[in-house]
Amino acid sequence: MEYIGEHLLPGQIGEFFIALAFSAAIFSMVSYYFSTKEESAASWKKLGRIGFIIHGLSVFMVIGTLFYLFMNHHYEYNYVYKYSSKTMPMKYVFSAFWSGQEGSFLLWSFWHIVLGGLLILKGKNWEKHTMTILALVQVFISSMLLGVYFMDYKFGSNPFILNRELPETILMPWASSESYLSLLFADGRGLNPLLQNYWMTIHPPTLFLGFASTVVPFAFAIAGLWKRDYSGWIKPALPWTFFSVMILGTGILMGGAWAYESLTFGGFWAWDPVENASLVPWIILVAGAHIMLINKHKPKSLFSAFLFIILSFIFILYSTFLTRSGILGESSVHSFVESGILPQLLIYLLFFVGMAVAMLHKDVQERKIYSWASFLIFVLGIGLYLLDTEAVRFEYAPAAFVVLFLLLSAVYTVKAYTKHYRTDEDEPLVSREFWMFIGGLVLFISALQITIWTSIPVFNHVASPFQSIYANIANLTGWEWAASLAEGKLSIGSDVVNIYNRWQIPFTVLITLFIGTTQFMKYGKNDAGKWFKAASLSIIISAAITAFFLFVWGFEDSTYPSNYVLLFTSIFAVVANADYLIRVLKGNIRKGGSPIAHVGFGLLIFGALVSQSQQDIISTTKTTDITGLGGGINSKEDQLMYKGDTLTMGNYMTTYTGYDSDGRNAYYHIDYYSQVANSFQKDDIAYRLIQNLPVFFIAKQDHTSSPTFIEDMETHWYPLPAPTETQLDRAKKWRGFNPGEKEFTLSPRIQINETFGNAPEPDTKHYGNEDLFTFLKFAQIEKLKTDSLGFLPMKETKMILGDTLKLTEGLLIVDSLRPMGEEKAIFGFLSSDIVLKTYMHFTSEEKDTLLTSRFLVRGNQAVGEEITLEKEGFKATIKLIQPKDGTAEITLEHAEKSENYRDFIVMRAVKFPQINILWIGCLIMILGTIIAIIERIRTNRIGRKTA
Amino acid sequence: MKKSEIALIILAGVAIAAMVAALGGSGKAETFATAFSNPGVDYKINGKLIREEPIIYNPEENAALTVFTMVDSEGGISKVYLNEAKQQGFEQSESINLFGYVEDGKFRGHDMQMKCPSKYNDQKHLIDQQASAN
Repeated sequence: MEYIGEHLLPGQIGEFFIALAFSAAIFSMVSYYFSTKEESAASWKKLGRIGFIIHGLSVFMVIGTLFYLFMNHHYEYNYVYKYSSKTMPMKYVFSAFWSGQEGSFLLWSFWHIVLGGLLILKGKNWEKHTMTILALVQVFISSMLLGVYFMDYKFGSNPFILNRELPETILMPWASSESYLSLLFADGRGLNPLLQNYWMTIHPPTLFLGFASTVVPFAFAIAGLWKRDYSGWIKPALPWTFFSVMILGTGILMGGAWAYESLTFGGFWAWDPVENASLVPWIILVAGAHIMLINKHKPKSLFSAFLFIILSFIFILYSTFLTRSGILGESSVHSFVESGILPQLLIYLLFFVGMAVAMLHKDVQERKIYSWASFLIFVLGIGLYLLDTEAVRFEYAPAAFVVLFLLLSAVYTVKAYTKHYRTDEDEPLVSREFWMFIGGLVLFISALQITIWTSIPVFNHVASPFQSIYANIANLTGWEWAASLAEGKLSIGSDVVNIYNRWQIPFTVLITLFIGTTQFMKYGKNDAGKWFKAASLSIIISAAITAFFLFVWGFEDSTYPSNYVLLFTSIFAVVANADYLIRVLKGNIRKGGSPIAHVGFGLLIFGALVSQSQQDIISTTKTTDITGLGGGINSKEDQLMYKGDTLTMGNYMTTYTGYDSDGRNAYYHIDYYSQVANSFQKDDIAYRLIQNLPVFFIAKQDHTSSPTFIEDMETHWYPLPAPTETQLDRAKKWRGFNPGEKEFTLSPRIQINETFGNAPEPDTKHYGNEDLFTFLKFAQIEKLKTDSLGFLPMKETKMILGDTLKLTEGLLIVDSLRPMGEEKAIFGFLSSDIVLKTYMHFTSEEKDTLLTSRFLVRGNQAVGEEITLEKEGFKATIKLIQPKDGTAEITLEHAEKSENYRDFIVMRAVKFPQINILWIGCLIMILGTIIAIIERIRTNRIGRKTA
Repeated sequence: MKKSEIALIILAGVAIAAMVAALGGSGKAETFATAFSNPGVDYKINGKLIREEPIIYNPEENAALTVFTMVDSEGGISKVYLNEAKQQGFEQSESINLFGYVEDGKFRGHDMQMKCPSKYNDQKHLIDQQASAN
């Protein structure tokens, strides 16, 4: 059978190039490997290069083909169908391309190929070894795209699979209908609207370049071990390492900026597992890069340099494993569905762990023992898993053997350290290398803490074979975590942010402190007195700035007392490095990469600290509302705003003026006015609502009001317990402010999307010293349903005598109830009927209307008379009257006309002070790192020329 | 002993403390049954929104109260009084992490994370196509 309208050729071309890319990577890896040992190394190296170039071109072809499919809307391809649609603007084709797993692996591959090209050009005598490693990494990544089946196991997932070929759909009746394409797949599902923005175009390529770039320092470190040139690799690898620090850092910060600009969790960092997964390798890489600097000077802590650089790459793999394997499951707000490549990702990760640990051993015999032991564990694990049957269960074999392998690797890592790297030579206490080393360790521990928390879902999986052990531990000790782990239910609590902050603030205090103090130390032994003299100016200036923020600016933090220390240390980091740049380097920018980057980092931390800890939710309302559906507890951080009402919010007066929609977004416009103090004249009458009842006051004299009534009550007002009719007419609700000049309008929006759910996006007013960040919590998007007379759907309210129902135009009050006596007969009721006459009244500013109605009970049937208020657009019927607590409870069914409906929104507005310092810090840090990289490349080049 | 090794030992101690704190301070994904038998204790509950039951959000009365019905991972069903505005896209949510406790026989939520169909979507929509194809 021929399917109508399919375009199969591009897919076949794409699949061919995937296979070619995979084979060429293997070929390149093998050739490069032989080039490192054989006599005919030069020709092997040539083959390696040719293989890598073919691999690179093939991956580019795959990427090109996939773009072609997107551009031409070939929705028979699942990937195109899932992530694009005809209505999607073409500028988002990049976002669509890498929004899926296959696309992001292609993006990652792309950067590896670019970096590989640079290594071929610039790698000199490191090319052979480093390219062997890079080609090996490419073998793994290309295998993720293969999408071939080996027995029952699927290797990789192929971006060119057709909708009808998926395992889920292949047996569907439509999959065998020849015209399925035009019937079902005329258009794609479209890209999630949250991903349709420019951030999604620039953030993933930057982040993936960051991920990809960590492979270069890793390849150099392994090459160093391989060539037994234990310190020689550091110099050529340093610019690459700092490039990686810079790009990965930029990628992470862009993610934060994206979150801040277009997501509504109210900040730039939420300690989400996905964010942590990219932060951890960066922290370790920063630690590694600094320890490399120490070793370039004097190779004394080579082991930590190797360890950290290797781990930064391993943690990139681990973060891919976490975010792509589906293991995070419920713990992340990002949705990750099991992708079926978990085993493959795990093998990828463990292979490089094994390779790195083996290479750390200088002793060939030890390498062999470890490698064989690992191989045995691997074979046993897989073997037992394959033997898993109904009769004999081995389903936990992989987890158990992974734990075993990791234990073995840990033992061998320690063994390698004690045997080969440990020295007895001690660093002087006051020396740059000692404190840089300690700083590196603190960074590493900080990364570990984040990893441990982020990995809780992994613990549950890994713990599964040992459930009985944990259950026993729990029984013996009563430790709750052991019990949770035994059930595989360990999970992070609700207070995620707090948990991370509590640990990370002290770590950051130490890091910022070291950044400040260490800059004034030289390598080798320093004189403590001299050092203190050099640093003292910065200490004094920082103390003065800190004092300013504490006492003048009003910095306050009761949640984290450690933030007071961080305030000082972050300022100190900035000041000390600026001082170093000015006084020691005499403003030499070219040499100043390090202090500039550190000034940037200090500012980043300072900005993050002030903007987060001093944020002010100005939409907080002060009234407590205990009505409604049993909501005893009441968070008051969101403001309800009716269209047209003017409310005080922080130092603004605000009005919600309405919304408009372009079909994709609904924009809600809120005007912000400055506040002008209200002025009152003598004998003005004002009232205040106290427990919903008005209390009246009369002005003593002409005055301008204070922000709150309490401040004015004694000096400017007399109470007026019994106002006269004319006084009542003049009475106005007291307001401290009137709106002044309109300052700006913010239009937070809601993205309308039925497939993915509506999503709010914030709108922010940026000032030099603060941001006003606003977003919608609730807004009515759907059209209101009305009946033919224009009434909204009926609502039911239970009321007892004396209760009040608030209507748009006034109040409805239930006054009394009276059974009808003998007069029943006059109205034609039966003598056995029970007729209750209800008296209610409606009151508004304009009128007071009495409303009577009758409620008839005949046998077991009951019916109420309809009450209507024509002008006010209100109708009601009594559904039920029952006795309750000595009085009567009336169930009223009522509705208002839709024109009475007042549009409203629920919104939140937060002020983030000094948030611009955070972004400026980011830019300065990136700039400083770039300067350092350029300088490093320059000195390396000069070094080579003079050598 | 080298100074850097002393530092290493101290930091290893911190790391172990972090680990223990992680384990000790962590919560446990629980069910409504547990929450109702221990009123006042805060729990995290994984589950799903029951879409057939009404979601009541009446911002004019209380902008920070959403009432809905949820089924937990073991099939226990309870009404939830969530002390938050109704989140956008709540109706479409695929699963819910709810934090809260029981008070006066009511489950009061104070925090909710929901997972929406997103970029890493499954292929369920393709199976749904069957209906339209037949």
